[in-house]
Amino acid sequence: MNINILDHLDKDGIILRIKPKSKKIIITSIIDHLIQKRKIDKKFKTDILNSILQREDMGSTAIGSHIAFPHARINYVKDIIVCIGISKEGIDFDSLDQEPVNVVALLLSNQKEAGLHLKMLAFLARILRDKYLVQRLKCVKTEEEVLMLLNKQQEVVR
Amino acid sequence: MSKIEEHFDIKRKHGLHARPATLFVQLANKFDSSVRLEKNGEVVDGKSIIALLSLGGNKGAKIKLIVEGEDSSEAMDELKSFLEEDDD
Repeated sequence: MNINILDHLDKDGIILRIKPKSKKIIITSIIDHLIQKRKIDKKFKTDILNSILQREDMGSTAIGSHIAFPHARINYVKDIIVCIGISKEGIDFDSLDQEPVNVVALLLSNQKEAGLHLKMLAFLARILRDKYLVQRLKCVKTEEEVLMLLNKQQEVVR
Repeated sequence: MSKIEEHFDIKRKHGLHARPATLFVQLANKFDSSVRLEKNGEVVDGKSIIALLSLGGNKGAKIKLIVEGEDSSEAMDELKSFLEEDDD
């Protein structure tokens, strides 16, 4: 597992206090955030959004354990973009275990990067399956704190 | 209780990413037997999506499937053929 999350995530890729709206509105707000932070170009918004929502229609990416991994494989990104959204109270994300979701890890990966996509998913699953970490992420106050917790956790699971 | 173990390679083009991992766990949960997967010495619960994803089962990965319980033979047949499918 040779992923270093800090190579792929900075504070602009973190959204604290996601509002408890519908899944579509939440995903749209994450994409808007990435556009605002210049991580993706506005002209691809509709395509990216449709691609993520189509994937959700095939089966929810809220796989249980209060985590969701909405994602799309598209050619508009260089390799991979990671965005972590956090909701303290939990959001309804059509979760497979019917539990509210507290951590949304959105992934946009280039179609040529299937290997990296799988590695990133595995990495995030590995660090986020620790319930204690999810509990701590729910209570963070700053984006830097999220980066610090994820960095610490990756050293533990390595 | 019969325990069955079998070794094989993942043939799916994109490996065990979110969707096949979810489908695998749904299939595994149809059986009473316990289901575990081992890759590079690490063993995970095959009835938990997050655990299965954490394995990072890429195409060509060598996996050991360990199934234990009353319906282990049937479970092994179905789960193994699912993992060996070569579509996405």
